[in-house]
Amino acid sequence: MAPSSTLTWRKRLGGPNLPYVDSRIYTDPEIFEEELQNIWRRTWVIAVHESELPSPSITGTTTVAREPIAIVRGEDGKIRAFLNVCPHRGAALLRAPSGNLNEANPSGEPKRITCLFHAWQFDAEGRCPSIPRRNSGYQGRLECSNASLHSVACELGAGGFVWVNLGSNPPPLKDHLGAAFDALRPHLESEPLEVFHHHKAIVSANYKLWHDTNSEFYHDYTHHFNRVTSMKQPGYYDRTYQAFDSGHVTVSSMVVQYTAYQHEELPLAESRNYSFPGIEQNGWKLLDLFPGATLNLRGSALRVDTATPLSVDRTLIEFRGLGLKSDSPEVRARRVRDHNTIWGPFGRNLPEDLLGVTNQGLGMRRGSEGLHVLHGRFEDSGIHDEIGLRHYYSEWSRRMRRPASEPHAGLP
Amino acid sequence: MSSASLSEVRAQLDELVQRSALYLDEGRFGEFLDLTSEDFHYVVEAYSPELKKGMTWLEHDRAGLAALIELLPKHHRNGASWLRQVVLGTVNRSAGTAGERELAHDFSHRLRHRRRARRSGRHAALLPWGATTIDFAKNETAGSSSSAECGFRRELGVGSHQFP
Repeated sequence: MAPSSTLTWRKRLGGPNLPYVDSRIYTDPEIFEEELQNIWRRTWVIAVHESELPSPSITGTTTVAREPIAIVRGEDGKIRAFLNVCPHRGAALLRAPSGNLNEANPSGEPKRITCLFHAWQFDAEGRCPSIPRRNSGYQGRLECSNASLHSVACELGAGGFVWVNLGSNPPPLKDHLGAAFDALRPHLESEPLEVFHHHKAIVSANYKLWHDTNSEFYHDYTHHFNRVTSMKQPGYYDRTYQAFDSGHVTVSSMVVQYTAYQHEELPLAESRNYSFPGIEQNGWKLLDLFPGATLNLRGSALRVDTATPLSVDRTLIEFRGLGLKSDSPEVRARRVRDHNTIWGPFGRNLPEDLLGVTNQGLGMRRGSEGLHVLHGRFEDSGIHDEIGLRHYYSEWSRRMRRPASEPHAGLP
Repeated sequence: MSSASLSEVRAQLDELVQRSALYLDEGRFGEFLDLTSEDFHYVVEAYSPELKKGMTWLEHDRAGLAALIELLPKHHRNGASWLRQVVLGTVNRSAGTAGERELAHDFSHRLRHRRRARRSGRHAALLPWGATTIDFAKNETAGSSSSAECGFRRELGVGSHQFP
Protein backbone atom coordinates (compact mmCIF):
# COMPACT_ATOMS: atom_id res chain seq x y z
CA MET A 1 0.00 0.00 0.00
CA ALA A 2 1.29 3.44 -0.81
CA PRO A 3 2.35 5.66 2.07
CA SER A 4 -0.39 7.91 3.32
CA SER A 5 1.56 11.02 2.40
CA THR A 6 1.63 9.84 -1.20
CA LEU A 7 -2.09 9.33 -1.17
CA THR A 8 -2.42 12.89 0.01
CA TRP A 9 -0.18 14.12 -2.75
CA ARG A 10 -2.26 12.31 -5.28
CA LYS A 11 -5.43 13.88 -4.02
CA ARG A 12 -7.08 15.54 -6.90
CA LEU A 13 -6.24 19.20 -7.35
CA GLY A 14 -9.31 21.26 -8.12
CA GLY A 15 -12.55 19.90 -9.48
CA PRO A 16 -13.32 16.70 -11.36
CA ASN A 17 -13.09 18.35 -14.78
CA LEU A 18 -9.44 19.26 -14.46
CA PRO A 19 -7.41 16.92 -16.68
CA TYR A 20 -4.14 15.60 -15.34
CA VAL A 21 -1.62 12.87 -15.90
CA ASP A 22 0.04 10.72 -13.28
CA SER A 23 3.70 11.69 -12.96
CA ARG A 24 4.67 8.02 -12.95
CA ILE A 25 4.37 8.09 -16.73
CA TYR A 26 7.57 10.13 -16.49
CA THR A 27 9.29 8.11 -13.80
CA ASP A 28 8.32 4.45 -14.06
CA PRO A 29 11.03 2.37 -15.80
CA GLU A 30 8.51 -0.31 -16.77
CA ILE A 31 6.29 2.22 -18.50
CA PHE A 32 9.35 3.53 -20.28
CA GLU A 33 10.17 0.06 -21.61
CA GLU A 34 6.61 -0.28 -22.87
CA GLU A 35 6.90 3.08 -24.59
CA LEU A 36 9.92 1.90 -26.52
CA GLN A 37 7.94 -1.10 -27.73
CA ASN A 38 4.54 0.44 -28.31
CA ILE A 39 5.52 3.90 -29.49
CA TRP A 40 9.13 4.34 -30.51
CA ARG A 41 9.52 1.06 -32.38
CA ARG A 42 6.29 1.68 -34.24
CA THR A 43 6.42 5.23 -35.45
CA TRP A 44 8.26 7.52 -37.84
CA VAL A 45 11.04 9.58 -36.32
CA ILE A 46 13.39 12.13 -37.85
CA ALA A 47 16.90 10.75 -38.24
CA VAL A 48 18.75 13.47 -40.14
CA HIS A 49 18.08 16.12 -42.73
CA GLU A 50 18.90 15.35 -46.34
CA SER A 51 21.36 18.25 -46.43
CA GLU A 52 23.49 16.36 -43.93
CA LEU A 53 24.07 13.73 -46.62
CA PRO A 54 24.69 16.02 -49.57
CA SER A 55 26.31 13.51 -51.91
CA PRO A 56 26.61 9.75 -52.49
CA SER A 57 28.50 7.71 -49.90
CA ILE A 58 27.89 10.21 -47.09
CA THR A 59 26.66 8.52 -43.94
CA GLY A 60 24.97 9.45 -40.71
CA THR A 61 24.03 7.59 -37.58
CA THR A 62 21.22 7.77 -35.10
CA THR A 63 19.52 5.62 -32.49
CA VAL A 64 15.87 4.70 -32.20
CA ALA A 65 14.62 2.72 -29.21
CA ARG A 66 18.20 1.65 -28.49
CA GLU A 67 18.67 0.30 -32.01
CA PRO A 68 21.66 1.86 -33.77
CA ILE A 69 20.73 3.06 -37.23
CA ALA A 70 22.96 3.88 -40.17
CA ILE A 71 21.77 6.37 -42.79
CA VAL A 72 23.55 6.17 -46.12
CA ARG A 73 23.14 7.99 -49.42
CA GLY A 74 23.81 5.52 -52.20
CA GLU A 75 25.47 5.97 -55.57
CA ASP A 76 21.98 6.34 -56.99
CA GLY A 77 21.37 9.32 -54.73
CA LYS A 78 18.78 7.50 -52.69
CA ILE A 79 19.00 7.65 -48.92
CA ARG A 80 18.59 4.34 -47.13
CA ALA A 81 18.59 3.23 -43.52
CA PHE A 82 20.00 0.06 -42.03
CA LEU A 83 20.50 -1.46 -38.67
CA ASN A 84 23.98 -0.23 -37.90
CA VAL A 85 25.08 -3.66 -36.78
CA CYS A 86 27.18 -6.25 -38.54
CA PRO A 87 25.07 -9.37 -39.19
CA HIS A 88 28.12 -11.49 -38.40
CA ARG A 89 28.80 -10.96 -34.70
CA GLY A 90 26.72 -7.91 -33.83
CA ALA A 91 29.37 -5.22 -33.78
CA ALA A 92 28.42 -1.64 -34.54
CA LEU A 93 29.53 -0.64 -38.01
CA LEU A 94 29.54 3.14 -38.42
CA ARG A 95 30.79 4.68 -35.24
CA ALA A 96 30.88 8.38 -36.10
CA PRO A 97 27.98 10.82 -36.26
CA SER A 98 28.75 11.33 -39.92
CA GLY A 99 31.14 9.87 -42.42
CA ASN A 100 32.14 9.41 -46.00
CA LEU A 101 32.53 5.97 -47.51
CA ASN A 102 34.87 7.43 -50.09
CA GLU A 103 37.42 7.77 -47.36
CA ALA A 104 39.19 4.45 -46.98
CA ASN A 105 39.60 2.98 -43.55
CA PRO A 106 42.34 0.67 -42.32
CA SER A 107 40.44 -2.57 -42.77
CA GLY A 108 38.24 -1.86 -45.74
CA GLU A 109 37.90 -0.39 -49.17
CA PRO A 110 36.50 2.89 -50.42
CA LYS A 111 32.73 2.98 -50.88
CA ARG A 112 32.29 0.14 -48.43
CA ILE A 113 31.08 -0.02 -44.87
CA THR A 114 33.61 -2.30 -43.27
CA CYS A 115 33.18 -3.93 -39.91
CA LEU A 116 36.38 -3.32 -38.01
CA PHE A 117 36.02 -6.64 -36.18
CA HIS A 118 36.29 -9.21 -38.99
CA ALA A 119 36.28 -6.96 -42.06
CA TRP A 120 32.95 -7.98 -43.48
CA GLN A 121 32.04 -5.39 -46.07
CA PHE A 122 28.81 -3.76 -47.14
CA ASP A 123 28.00 -1.30 -49.87
CA ALA A 124 25.84 1.79 -49.66
CA GLU A 125 22.80 -0.25 -50.66
CA GLY A 126 23.35 -2.63 -47.75
CA ARG A 127 24.57 -5.53 -49.87
CA CYS A 128 27.48 -7.63 -48.69
CA PRO A 129 30.09 -7.93 -51.45
CA SER A 130 32.81 -9.47 -49.35
CA ILE A 131 33.26 -11.83 -46.43
CA PRO A 132 36.92 -12.57 -45.76
CA ARG A 133 37.84 -16.24 -46.29
CA ARG A 134 34.18 -17.08 -46.74
CA ASN A 135 34.61 -20.41 -48.53
CA SER A 136 37.36 -21.56 -46.21
CA GLY A 137 35.22 -21.07 -43.18
CA TYR A 138 31.69 -21.62 -44.32
CA GLN A 139 32.20 -24.20 -47.11
CA GLY A 140 29.26 -22.93 -49.12
CA ARG A 141 26.90 -22.72 -46.15
CA LEU A 142 26.86 -18.91 -46.23
CA GLU A 143 26.64 -16.72 -49.31
CA CYS A 144 27.26 -12.99 -49.38
CA SER A 145 23.70 -12.61 -50.56
CA ASN A 146 22.58 -13.98 -47.20
CA ALA A 147 24.52 -11.35 -45.29
CA SER A 148 23.03 -8.03 -46.33
CA LEU A 149 22.48 -5.38 -43.72
CA HIS A 150 19.07 -5.35 -42.10
CA SER A 151 16.99 -2.66 -43.78
CA VAL A 152 15.03 -0.10 -41.82
CA ALA A 153 12.03 1.67 -43.33
CA CYS A 154 13.19 5.07 -44.52
CA GLU A 155 11.39 7.94 -46.22
CA LEU A 156 12.36 11.42 -47.29
CA GLY A 157 9.73 14.05 -46.65
CA ALA A 158 8.24 16.95 -44.73
CA GLY A 159 10.87 19.55 -45.44
CA GLY A 160 13.61 17.24 -46.63
CA PHE A 161 13.97 15.27 -43.42
CA VAL A 162 14.99 11.64 -43.45
CA TRP A 163 12.54 9.62 -41.39
CA VAL A 164 12.97 6.08 -40.19
CA ASN A 165 10.56 3.56 -38.72
CA LEU A 166 11.61 0.35 -36.97
CA GLY A 167 8.29 -1.28 -37.72
CA SER A 168 7.95 -4.03 -40.26
CA ASN A 169 6.14 -2.72 -43.34
CA PRO A 170 4.93 0.39 -41.54
CA PRO A 171 2.23 2.62 -42.98
CA PRO A 172 3.71 5.41 -45.10
CA LEU A 173 5.02 8.59 -43.55
CA LYS A 174 2.18 10.60 -45.02
CA ASP A 175 -0.27 8.55 -42.99
CA HIS A 176 1.64 9.35 -39.83
CA LEU A 177 1.78 13.07 -40.58
CA GLY A 178 -1.75 13.33 -41.90
CA ALA A 179 -2.64 16.98 -42.47
CA ALA A 180 -0.44 18.19 -39.64
CA PHE A 181 2.43 19.25 -41.90
CA ASP A 182 0.19 21.18 -44.28
CA ALA A 183 0.57 24.43 -42.37
CA LEU A 184 4.34 24.38 -42.80
CA ARG A 185 4.56 22.71 -46.19
CA PRO A 186 4.45 25.90 -48.31
CA HIS A 187 7.31 27.38 -46.33
CA LEU A 188 9.52 24.32 -46.03
CA GLU A 189 9.03 22.55 -49.34
CA SER A 190 9.12 25.40 -51.85
CA GLU A 191 12.85 25.10 -52.08
CA PRO A 192 15.54 22.94 -50.46
CA LEU A 193 16.58 23.61 -46.89
CA GLU A 194 19.98 23.22 -45.33
CA VAL A 195 21.09 22.54 -41.78
CA PHE A 196 23.54 25.15 -40.48
CA HIS A 197 23.43 24.39 -36.78
CA HIS A 198 23.49 21.26 -34.66
CA HIS A 199 23.98 20.84 -30.97
CA LYS A 200 22.84 18.42 -28.33
CA ALA A 201 21.68 18.54 -24.78
CA ILE A 202 21.22 15.62 -22.46
CA VAL A 203 18.64 16.44 -19.84
CA SER A 204 17.97 14.43 -16.72
CA ALA A 205 14.27 14.24 -17.40
CA ASN A 206 11.84 12.05 -19.28
CA TYR A 207 11.56 12.73 -23.02
CA LYS A 208 7.88 13.56 -22.79
CA LEU A 209 8.62 16.46 -20.50
CA TRP A 210 10.64 18.07 -23.24
CA HIS A 211 7.88 17.56 -25.75
CA ASP A 212 5.38 18.87 -23.19
CA THR A 213 7.36 22.08 -22.98
CA ASN A 214 7.24 22.43 -26.73
CA SER A 215 3.50 21.73 -26.65
CA GLU A 216 2.38 24.60 -24.46
CA PHE A 217 3.13 28.32 -24.40
CA TYR A 218 1.97 28.98 -20.86
CA HIS A 219 5.60 28.60 -19.84
CA ASP A 220 6.44 31.80 -21.67
CA TYR A 221 6.40 33.27 -18.18
CA THR A 222 9.83 31.65 -17.92
CA HIS A 223 11.25 33.67 -20.74
CA HIS A 224 12.09 37.32 -20.62
CA PHE A 225 12.77 37.21 -24.35
CA ASN A 226 9.48 35.54 -25.18
CA ARG A 227 7.52 37.73 -22.85
CA VAL A 228 8.64 40.92 -24.54
CA THR A 229 8.77 39.59 -28.11
CA SER A 230 5.49 37.72 -28.03
CA MET A 231 3.48 37.51 -24.85
CA LYS A 232 3.15 41.27 -24.53
CA GLN A 233 2.60 41.87 -28.22
CA PRO A 234 -0.56 42.09 -30.31
CA GLY A 235 -1.55 38.82 -31.84
CA TYR A 236 -0.05 36.58 -29.17
CA TYR A 237 -3.38 35.63 -27.63
CA ASP A 238 -4.89 35.23 -31.08
CA ARG A 239 -2.63 32.26 -31.79
CA THR A 240 -4.46 28.99 -31.68
CA TYR A 241 -3.68 25.31 -31.52
CA GLN A 242 -5.04 22.84 -34.01
CA ALA A 243 -4.98 19.15 -33.22
CA PHE A 244 -4.46 16.43 -35.80
CA ASP A 245 -4.57 12.68 -35.86
CA SER A 246 -1.70 10.74 -34.31
CA GLY A 247 -1.05 13.24 -31.54
CA HIS A 248 0.31 16.15 -33.59
CA VAL A 249 -0.59 19.80 -33.09
CA THR A 250 0.17 23.06 -34.83
CA VAL A 251 0.19 26.63 -33.57
CA SER A 252 -0.93 29.45 -35.83
CA SER A 253 1.36 32.34 -36.68
CA MET A 254 1.88 35.77 -35.25
CA VAL A 255 4.19 38.51 -36.44
CA VAL A 256 6.89 39.19 -33.87
CA GLN A 257 8.20 42.67 -33.12
CA TYR A 258 11.74 41.76 -32.22
CA THR A 259 12.75 45.33 -31.52
CA ALA A 260 10.71 45.14 -28.33
CA TYR A 261 13.56 43.17 -26.85
CA GLN A 262 15.92 45.67 -25.34
CA HIS A 263 19.03 46.06 -27.45
CA GLU A 264 17.58 43.90 -30.18
CA GLU A 265 17.89 46.88 -32.47
CA LEU A 266 21.58 46.77 -31.83
CA PRO A 267 22.54 45.22 -34.16
CA LEU A 268 20.03 42.46 -34.76
CA ALA A 269 16.89 44.11 -36.02
CA GLU A 270 18.05 44.47 -39.58
CA SER A 271 18.68 40.76 -39.67
CA ARG A 272 15.01 40.07 -39.45
CA ASN A 273 14.49 40.97 -43.07
CA TYR A 274 14.77 37.36 -44.10
CA SER A 275 12.10 34.76 -43.85
CA PHE A 276 11.03 31.52 -45.50
CA PRO A 277 8.97 31.26 -48.69
CA GLY A 278 5.36 32.22 -48.25
CA ILE A 279 5.43 33.28 -44.63
CA GLU A 280 5.15 36.86 -43.52
CA GLN A 281 8.28 38.59 -42.31
CA ASN A 282 8.89 37.64 -38.69
CA GLY A 283 6.05 35.16 -38.82
CA TRP A 284 6.10 32.29 -36.38
CA LYS A 285 4.55 28.86 -36.85
CA LEU A 286 5.10 25.72 -34.84
CA LEU A 287 4.41 22.04 -35.36
CA ASP A 288 4.67 19.41 -32.62
CA LEU A 289 4.94 15.87 -33.91
CA PHE A 290 4.23 12.82 -31.80
CA PRO A 291 6.21 11.37 -30.12
CA GLY A 292 9.15 13.74 -29.85
CA ALA A 293 9.84 16.25 -32.62
CA THR A 294 9.08 19.94 -32.99
CA LEU A 295 9.47 22.18 -36.02
CA ASN A 296 9.60 25.82 -34.97
CA LEU A 297 9.68 28.32 -37.83
CA ARG A 298 10.30 31.74 -36.39
CA GLY A 299 11.51 34.74 -38.32
CA SER A 300 14.46 33.83 -40.44
CA ALA A 301 15.32 30.41 -39.02
CA LEU A 302 13.77 27.01 -38.59
CA ARG A 303 14.58 25.14 -35.40
CA VAL A 304 13.95 21.42 -35.27
CA ASP A 305 14.12 19.47 -32.03
CA THR A 306 14.33 15.71 -31.99
CA ALA A 307 14.21 13.88 -28.68
CA THR A 308 15.80 10.48 -28.22
CA PRO A 309 14.82 8.67 -25.03
CA LEU A 310 17.92 7.22 -23.38
CA SER A 311 16.25 6.02 -20.21
CA VAL A 312 13.17 6.89 -18.22
CA ASP A 313 14.92 9.95 -16.82
CA ARG A 314 17.52 10.78 -19.43
CA THR A 315 16.88 12.30 -22.82
CA LEU A 316 19.08 13.35 -25.66
CA ILE A 317 17.76 16.37 -27.50
CA GLU A 318 19.24 17.37 -30.81
CA PHE A 319 18.72 20.91 -31.99
CA ARG A 320 19.05 21.75 -35.63
CA GLY A 321 18.93 25.17 -37.20
CA LEU A 322 18.01 25.43 -40.87
CA GLY A 323 17.94 28.05 -43.58
CA LEU A 324 17.48 27.89 -47.32
CA LYS A 325 20.05 26.03 -49.34
CA SER A 326 20.11 28.96 -51.74
CA ASP A 327 21.21 31.41 -49.04
CA SER A 328 24.06 33.69 -49.94
CA PRO A 329 26.85 33.79 -47.34
CA GLU A 330 25.56 37.13 -46.13
CA VAL A 331 22.00 35.92 -45.72
CA ARG A 332 23.14 32.72 -44.08
CA ALA A 333 25.24 34.64 -41.58
CA ARG A 334 22.21 36.65 -40.60
CA ARG A 335 20.04 33.59 -40.23
CA VAL A 336 22.69 32.04 -38.02
CA ARG A 337 22.83 35.15 -35.90
CA ASP A 338 19.06 35.32 -35.55
CA HIS A 339 18.92 31.64 -34.72
CA ASN A 340 21.62 31.93 -32.10
CA THR A 341 20.00 34.92 -30.46
CA ILE A 342 17.00 32.84 -29.50
CA TRP A 343 17.94 29.22 -29.81
CA GLY A 344 21.70 28.94 -29.78
CA PRO A 345 23.44 27.22 -26.90
CA PHE A 346 23.97 30.70 -25.46
CA GLY A 347 20.68 32.06 -26.72
CA ARG A 348 17.99 33.88 -24.79
CA ASN A 349 15.20 31.33 -24.96
CA LEU A 350 16.29 27.72 -25.32
CA PRO A 351 18.49 27.50 -22.20
CA GLU A 352 15.58 28.60 -20.05
CA ASP A 353 13.40 25.86 -21.53
CA LEU A 354 16.10 23.37 -20.66
CA LEU A 355 16.26 24.75 -17.16
CA GLY A 356 12.52 24.38 -16.74
CA VAL A 357 12.52 20.77 -17.87
CA THR A 358 15.56 20.00 -15.75
CA ASN A 359 13.62 21.27 -12.77
CA GLN A 360 10.77 18.93 -13.66
CA GLY A 361 13.28 16.11 -13.73
CA LEU A 362 14.40 17.11 -10.25
CA GLY A 363 10.81 17.21 -9.08
CA MET A 364 9.83 13.88 -10.58
CA ARG A 365 12.64 11.41 -10.12
CA ARG A 366 12.80 7.82 -11.26
CA GLY A 367 10.69 5.61 -9.05
CA SER A 368 8.95 8.42 -7.18
CA GLU A 369 5.47 7.66 -5.95
CA GLY A 370 3.50 9.82 -8.30
CA LEU A 371 1.80 13.16 -8.41
CA HIS A 372 -0.95 14.69 -10.43
CA VAL A 373 0.46 16.84 -13.23
CA LEU A 374 -2.14 19.24 -14.52
CA HIS A 375 -3.00 19.60 -18.17
CA GLY A 376 -6.16 21.48 -17.43
CA ARG A 377 -6.05 24.90 -19.08
CA PHE A 378 -8.94 25.45 -21.49
CA GLU A 379 -8.88 28.69 -23.48
CA ASP A 380 -10.73 27.86 -26.69
CA SER A 381 -7.55 26.30 -28.12
CA GLY A 382 -5.76 29.60 -27.54
CA ILE A 383 -2.08 29.95 -26.96
CA HIS A 384 -2.25 29.17 -23.23
CA ASP A 385 -4.71 26.33 -23.70
CA GLU A 386 -3.09 23.00 -22.83
CA ILE A 387 -4.83 21.18 -25.63
CA GLY A 388 -1.43 20.27 -27.05
CA LEU A 389 -0.66 18.29 -23.91
CA ARG A 390 -4.07 16.65 -23.72
CA HIS A 391 -3.98 15.72 -27.38
CA TYR A 392 -0.52 14.20 -27.04
CA TYR A 393 -1.58 12.08 -24.09
CA SER A 394 -4.71 10.98 -25.82
CA GLU A 395 -2.52 9.42 -28.48
CA TRP A 396 -0.10 8.15 -25.84
CA SER A 397 -2.96 6.46 -23.98
CA ARG A 398 -4.22 4.89 -27.17
CA ARG A 399 -0.84 3.43 -28.05
CA MET A 400 -0.02 2.39 -24.51
CA ARG A 401 -3.48 0.97 -23.89
CA ARG A 402 -3.71 2.71 -20.55
CA PRO A 403 -4.81 6.20 -19.53
CA ALA A 404 -2.02 8.61 -18.74
CA SER A 405 -4.02 9.73 -15.74
CA GLU A 406 -4.24 6.23 -14.30
CA PRO A 407 -1.30 4.37 -15.86
CA HIS A 408 -1.49 1.49 -13.42
CA ALA A 409 -5.23 1.09 -13.43
CA GLY A 410 -6.30 -2.48 -13.99
CA LEU A 411 -2.77 -3.82 -13.78
CA PRO A 412 -1.92 -6.50 -11.26
CA MET B 1 63.00 43.32 -29.02
CA SER B 2 64.94 42.62 -25.86
CA SER B 3 64.35 39.56 -23.79
CA ALA B 4 63.22 41.79 -20.93
CA SER B 5 60.39 43.29 -22.97
CA LEU B 6 59.32 39.87 -24.18
CA SER B 7 59.20 38.74 -20.60
CA GLU B 8 57.05 41.70 -19.78
CA VAL B 9 54.68 40.91 -22.62
CA ARG B 10 54.47 37.38 -21.42
CA ALA B 11 53.62 38.45 -17.88
CA GLN B 12 50.96 40.84 -19.10
CA LEU B 13 49.43 38.21 -21.30
CA ASP B 14 49.37 35.76 -18.44
CA GLU B 15 47.71 38.33 -16.23
CA LEU B 16 45.17 39.16 -18.92
CA VAL B 17 44.16 35.60 -19.61
CA GLN B 18 43.99 34.59 -15.98
CA ARG B 19 42.08 37.67 -14.92
CA SER B 20 39.57 37.35 -17.72
CA ALA B 21 39.01 33.71 -16.83
CA LEU B 22 38.56 34.63 -13.18
CA TYR B 23 35.98 37.28 -13.98
CA LEU B 24 33.99 34.97 -16.18
CA ASP B 25 34.14 32.13 -13.68
CA GLU B 26 32.82 34.40 -10.96
CA GLY B 27 30.19 36.00 -13.14
CA ARG B 28 31.83 39.41 -12.90
CA PHE B 29 30.84 40.18 -16.45
CA GLY B 30 31.12 43.93 -16.13
CA GLU B 31 34.72 43.67 -15.03
CA PHE B 32 35.32 41.21 -17.81
CA LEU B 33 33.97 43.73 -20.27
CA ASP B 34 36.12 46.48 -18.75
CA LEU B 35 39.19 44.54 -19.83
CA THR B 36 38.20 44.92 -23.45
CA SER B 37 38.72 47.68 -25.96
CA GLU B 38 36.12 49.20 -28.25
CA ASP B 39 36.97 46.94 -31.16
CA PHE B 40 36.66 43.79 -29.08
CA HIS B 41 35.02 40.92 -30.89
CA TYR B 42 33.71 37.86 -29.07
CA VAL B 43 33.07 34.63 -30.93
CA VAL B 44 32.25 31.14 -29.79
CA GLU B 45 32.73 28.57 -32.48
CA ALA B 46 32.28 24.83 -32.47
CA TYR B 47 32.83 22.00 -34.87
CA SER B 48 29.90 19.71 -35.55
CA PRO B 49 30.85 16.10 -36.21
CA GLU B 50 27.28 15.61 -37.40
CA LEU B 51 27.46 18.34 -40.03
CA LYS B 52 31.19 18.02 -40.57
CA LYS B 53 31.61 21.74 -40.50
CA GLY B 54 32.22 24.58 -38.16
CA MET B 55 29.47 26.58 -36.56
CA THR B 56 29.25 29.94 -34.91
CA TRP B 57 27.32 29.73 -31.66
CA LEU B 58 27.76 33.25 -30.38
CA GLU B 59 29.20 36.33 -31.99
CA HIS B 60 29.16 39.85 -30.67
CA ASP B 61 31.06 43.06 -30.98
CA ARG B 62 31.72 44.89 -27.76
CA ALA B 63 28.41 46.74 -27.83
CA GLY B 64 26.52 43.50 -28.45
CA LEU B 65 28.32 41.77 -25.63
CA ALA B 66 27.62 44.70 -23.34
CA ALA B 67 23.94 44.48 -24.23
CA LEU B 68 23.94 40.77 -23.54
CA ILE B 69 25.54 41.31 -20.16
CA GLU B 70 23.12 44.08 -19.29
CA LEU B 71 20.19 41.82 -20.04
CA LEU B 72 21.45 38.84 -18.09
CA PRO B 73 19.68 39.76 -14.85
CA LYS B 74 16.35 39.70 -16.66
CA HIS B 75 16.82 36.07 -17.59
CA HIS B 76 16.75 33.08 -15.32
CA ARG B 77 20.18 32.36 -14.01
CA ASN B 78 19.50 30.92 -10.59
CA GLY B 79 20.77 27.41 -10.34
CA ALA B 80 21.68 27.26 -13.98
CA SER B 81 24.98 27.15 -15.67
CA TRP B 82 23.68 27.83 -19.07
CA LEU B 83 25.47 31.12 -19.23
CA ARG B 84 28.74 29.38 -18.64
CA GLN B 85 30.79 28.00 -21.38
CA VAL B 86 33.99 26.20 -21.90
CA VAL B 87 35.89 28.35 -24.28
CA LEU B 88 39.56 28.24 -24.74
CA GLY B 89 41.07 30.48 -27.31
CA THR B 90 44.30 31.57 -28.79
CA VAL B 91 45.33 35.19 -28.81
CA ASN B 92 45.97 36.68 -32.17
CA ARG B 93 47.41 40.07 -31.67
CA SER B 94 46.80 42.28 -34.65
CA ALA B 95 49.27 45.00 -33.77
CA GLY B 96 52.69 45.31 -32.24
CA THR B 97 55.98 43.97 -33.40
CA ALA B 98 56.32 40.63 -35.09
CA GLY B 99 57.91 39.30 -31.94
CA GLU B 100 55.04 40.49 -29.80
CA ARG B 101 52.47 39.00 -32.14
CA GLU B 102 54.26 35.71 -32.24
CA LEU B 103 54.67 35.63 -28.50
CA ALA B 104 51.01 36.45 -27.95
CA HIS B 105 49.94 33.59 -30.13
CA ASP B 106 52.40 31.04 -28.87
CA PHE B 107 52.04 31.85 -25.22
CA SER B 108 48.26 31.94 -25.25
CA HIS B 109 48.28 28.70 -27.20
CA ARG B 110 50.27 27.08 -24.43
CA LEU B 111 47.98 28.56 -21.81
CA ARG B 112 45.03 27.16 -23.64
CA HIS B 113 46.32 23.64 -23.59
CA ARG B 114 47.51 23.90 -20.04
CA ARG B 115 44.14 25.13 -18.90
CA ARG B 116 42.35 22.46 -20.85
CA ALA B 117 44.52 19.74 -19.39
CA ARG B 118 43.93 20.96 -15.86
CA ARG B 119 40.31 21.79 -16.46
CA SER B 120 41.05 24.52 -14.01
CA GLY B 121 38.55 27.04 -15.25
CA ARG B 122 35.20 27.07 -16.85
CA HIS B 123 36.25 29.96 -19.01
CA ALA B 124 39.24 31.35 -20.62
CA ALA B 125 38.64 34.48 -22.56
CA LEU B 126 41.06 36.38 -24.65
CA LEU B 127 40.97 40.08 -24.51
CA PRO B 128 42.49 43.21 -25.94
CA TRP B 129 45.85 43.81 -24.51
CA GLY B 130 47.21 47.27 -23.94
CA ALA B 131 46.27 49.72 -26.61
CA THR B 132 46.37 47.16 -29.34
CA THR B 133 43.79 44.67 -30.40
CA ILE B 134 43.76 41.00 -29.64
CA ASP B 135 40.97 39.10 -31.29
CA PHE B 136 39.52 35.75 -30.71
CA ALA B 137 41.03 33.91 -33.57
CA LYS B 138 40.03 30.41 -32.72
CA ASN B 139 37.99 29.00 -29.91
CA GLU B 140 37.63 25.42 -29.03
CA THR B 141 34.82 23.96 -27.07
CA ALA B 142 36.32 21.53 -24.68
CA GLY B 143 33.62 19.10 -23.85
CA SER B 144 31.29 19.49 -20.96
CA SER B 145 33.65 19.66 -18.05
CA SER B 146 31.30 21.90 -16.13
CA SER B 147 28.43 19.50 -16.50
CA ALA B 148 28.41 18.38 -12.91
CA GLU B 149 27.23 21.78 -11.84
CA CYS B 150 24.74 22.33 -14.59
CA GLY B 151 21.84 20.07 -13.78
CA PHE B 152 21.76 19.47 -17.47
CA ARG B 153 24.73 19.25 -19.71
CA ARG B 154 25.45 20.06 -23.24
CA GLU B 155 27.21 17.94 -25.72
CA LEU B 156 29.49 20.51 -27.21
CA GLY B 157 29.83 18.91 -30.56
CA VAL B 158 31.32 15.77 -29.12
CA GLY B 159 30.04 12.25 -29.29
CA SER B 160 27.30 10.51 -31.12
CA HIS B 161 24.22 8.48 -30.54
CA GLN B 162 26.32 5.55 -29.47
CA PHE B 163 26.18 5.80 -25.73
CA PRO B 164 27.91 3.43 -23.38
